[in-house]
Parts: sequence; structure tokens; C-alpha cells
Amino acid sequence: MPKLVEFTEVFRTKNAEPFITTFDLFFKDKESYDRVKGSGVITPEKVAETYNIPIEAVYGIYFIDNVNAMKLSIYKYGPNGYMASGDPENPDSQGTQQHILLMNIEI
Amino acid sequence: MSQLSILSYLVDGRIGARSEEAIQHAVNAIESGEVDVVSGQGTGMDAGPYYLGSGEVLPPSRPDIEPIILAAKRRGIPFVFSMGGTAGADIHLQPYLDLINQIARDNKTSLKIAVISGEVDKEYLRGKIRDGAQVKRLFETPRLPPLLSIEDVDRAERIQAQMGAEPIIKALEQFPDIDGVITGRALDVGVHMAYPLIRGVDWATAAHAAKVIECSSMACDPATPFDFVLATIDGAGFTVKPTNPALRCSVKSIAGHALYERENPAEERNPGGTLDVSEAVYEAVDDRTVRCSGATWVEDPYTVKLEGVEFAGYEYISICGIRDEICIQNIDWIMDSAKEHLRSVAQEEEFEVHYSVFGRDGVLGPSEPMRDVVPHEVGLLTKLICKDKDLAERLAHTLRIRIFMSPYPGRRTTAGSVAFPLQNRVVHTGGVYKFNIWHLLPLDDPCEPFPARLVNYPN
Repeated sequence: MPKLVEFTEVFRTKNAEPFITTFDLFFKDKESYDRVKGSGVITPEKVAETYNIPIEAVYGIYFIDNVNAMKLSIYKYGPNGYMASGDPENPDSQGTQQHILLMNIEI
Repeated sequence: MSQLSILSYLVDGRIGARSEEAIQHAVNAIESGEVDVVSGQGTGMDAGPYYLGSGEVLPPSRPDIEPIILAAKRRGIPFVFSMGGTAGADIHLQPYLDLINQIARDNKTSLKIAVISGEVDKEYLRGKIRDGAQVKRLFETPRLPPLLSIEDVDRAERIQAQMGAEPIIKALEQFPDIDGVITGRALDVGVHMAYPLIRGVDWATAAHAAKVIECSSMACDPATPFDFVLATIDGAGFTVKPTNPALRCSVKSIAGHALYERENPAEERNPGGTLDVSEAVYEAVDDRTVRCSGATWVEDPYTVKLEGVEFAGYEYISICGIRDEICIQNIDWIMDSAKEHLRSVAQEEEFEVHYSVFGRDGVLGPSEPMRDVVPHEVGLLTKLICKDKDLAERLAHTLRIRIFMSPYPGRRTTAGSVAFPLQNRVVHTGGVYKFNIWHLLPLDDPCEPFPARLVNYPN
């Protein structure tokens, strides 16, 4: 089965203010976008399981039809629970290396 | 209303980030008369709590500021900038004001500027809380206290707020003959909205235009932070295009920018209202210009976001590499027993120890699904944080030797078990900080904590 990354041309993560990591996915075309959106694979449950975080830490999943894009936002969650950018237990202060596990989800 | 054009760029401290061509195209746009106001954001908290806490400043880059201010002055159009490089408290703003002074002096010109501090006085905040203000956290994360307390204010090293457009509007109206407004920490869109609102643009259109251009050419295709865009507002919407002919705006780049660095792509909470772009329409005008319309603005009770950090301690780090697989298999034992030893020589609440094992789960931490695969080599970063600087240094050295000489099960390497790539094996990185305030202060008067002062440069 193809991985989510194969449907996209941009796949990035970044802080959305210090307490949230946000994922932006821009799909290759409408067909790729519709395939992923229609698959129903990307759910809060799937995200929580993939990132080993409580489901309450999944802030939101958004599909944006007019640009064939998807956004996922999750609260930053580490070894001691909820955390912020810059906390000593947080190894990614700008949140730019958190995408890989989502990339590899099979659609 | 007639047309109104805003020229936007990022007024940050990155030296030499912009090409001379980029600046020249922007200056040409100003001199051609097609620009009504130049606005730019130059504060941000994306880099974390360090700059706000330490007061360290990313110094201003004169070549990125001087030609634009002088062109605006020559043409007689106002500029509105938030400045500070990273954070935007007074200590960050001052070097930028010093540069403005130098620019005025060296060019034998006068600059009359309304300066608005973005720092919030702690006693003012304590008074608000004493008077019963409910200062709620912006996000429902258990990492933050639900309501801001006087103790939280006391503990903060420094507090700033993201002023809205209103204090800037007030300054522009109060001092009609000024050349521009310079603020400390401010809401990015507020910086761009203020002048259009004075000229009668409705809130939805002003906020939507501001949102599209707030990161300037980051909304271009390809995205770059180093150039300029021009938004032209007419009655029913606005167009956006880059001033540099080498760049273009596309429907995809403009609409896609709505996602950048925010948690919700459709709604943006601002002081006094929420911008909703879920029904926004983006249409290509030509191959470089996009027309935008259709956003809505829903009024909310007025609040400004407070940002504060507390001192966590002095940090000492150590970096070592491990290639021995017996050692790597025992890395948790080594880290735990070294930490445990520190607990026997100092009070547990006096210090913090944090590890990152690069090559295993150094980037993803507890999210890492491959944590149990034993790598052939790892890098170990240790952080020791303690509010007593001398104790911090001593504990960091103890931690280092306890790792270096760790008697882990099966050890053969009795001369030392890890490799240090740095000659200074324990490095002081400075004071470190933690976000402790990210709360919304309700205000009856949006300008109350943000009085403007008139400054004549050079002085």
C-alpha cells in the first residue's frame, strides 16, 4: 500500500505557537487529495496511536478543498506529558522534524 | 473608497538576508507613488523562550531598513513596523531605535516617530488580577495554568503582549504629522491593518489582506522570507503581487499561506475578533497577481495575548559519542544511574537532567517507534539545569564523569566508555527559560497598556 508521503509535494511540520506542532500537507493534485481524504485513514485515533500521545492531544485535522491541502495540529507531548517549545525535555524547539511518522502511514 | 496599497516585508535582524535587487524594486515601488503605507513585522516567538528571557537581541540589519525608511520619508508615506528581532520587549526594541537614530543623523534628515512599547508592566498586570480580571490561557494545554495568577506574574522574567491595531491607529491619529510608528511586540496582522482601517477599509478585508501579506513573500511561489509584496485594497477585496519581477503570487501560494504556522487554517483568533477565511475566494489576475475576497470578521470580546517566560536555571551540556554495542545496549542504565547519583549529592528539586540519545530516539522522544532497535552508534546530549550556577557546573561535571566511567553491566572499557568530540567537555550554554504565560488579558480599552510616545530623531 502506498505511503501518505507519495501523494504529496509538500509535507512539513512547524510550531503553531509554542504548545502546538502543526503538519501541512500539500497534495500533488486533486486526485491524490481526494484519495487520501476519501480513505478515512487519517483520524484522531490513528494520529494518537502513531505518535504515542493521548487522543486529547490531537487538536484538529483539517482538509482544505480549494488548495488540495491537509492540516493536522497536535499538542506538544513529551516524556513528562504536555510540553512547550523550548522546554528542556523537548528536542525539537521549532517542531520541524515531527512529520516522518505521519509520512509513513499507509493509505 | 479609493484604492489603498500596502507594501509589506519582514523587518527582522538577519544580516544581508535580502538582495540589493529586492530592496531596489521595493524602493522603486515607493517612489513610483503606488504605495500608500509600508508595514512590516519584526517580532516573533517562533524561536522559543530564550530571547524573551535572556534579553539577547538579534541586532538590526541596516541595509534592510535604511533605504525603505528613507524612501517612505521622501515620498511622504507612513511606515508601521514592529521591531525587536525575535522577542519584542523594550530591551529588544532599543537597538532598533538606536539604528533609526543613526540613520536620521547620518542622512541629515529628521524622523518623527511614535514609539509604542510592547512590554507589559508587572505591577499593571498584578493590579488587573487583583481587580478580578480573568486572564485565561490561550490554549487548553495542561502545560499552562488555566488562569494567570499574581505568582505567575512574579515568576516571569519579562512579559510582553501582542498589541492589536488599535494603539497604532491611535498613535497615527494622535500625531498626524509623524513619519511612522514603531512598536515592540505586536500582532503581525495588526501592524498591517492599522493604516487601512484609518482609511475606512472594513475589518474583514483589512484583516484578510494583513493575514495574506503578514509574512510578505512567504506567500509567493516559491516562498521566500527575503522579499516584498504589495497588496492593493479596493472596495470589495484586494490584489497581491510581489514587487520583484523574479517572483510570482499564485492562487496556490496565497491560499496555501493560510496554513502557515497556525493551528487552524480557516479561523484566526485576533484581539477583538476572529478572521474566518473558510469562504474566501482567490482568483488569478495575471501570472503574478492574485485577487482575494470573501473573508468574514466575527467580533469577540477584546483581549490581548500576554507572553511571558520564567527562569529555569543555568544550563550545562555535554556531548559524547558511543560506538560500543554493549554500552549502547545499556544506555538507559547508564543515564539512569548517573542521574540517580546526582540525587545522592544534591536535592532533587535543585536540578534537572535531560538526555537526548541521537541515533535512537533523540528527535522524536517517546513518539519514536524504532526506539528498541539497537543502533551501531549513538550520540548522547546531556543537559544539566540548576538555578545555582556554581552547583550547576559541579553537578554537570559529576554527571559527565559518572557517564564516562559508568560501571554498567558487562562493561569491558574500564578506561572510559564514551568519546568526547569537544575539548571543553562540559559547556555552559547560558540561562535557559520556560514559557509560563500565554494568556489572554481582557481589555475595555485596547490601548490602555500601550501608550505611544513621540520621539524626534536624531536626538
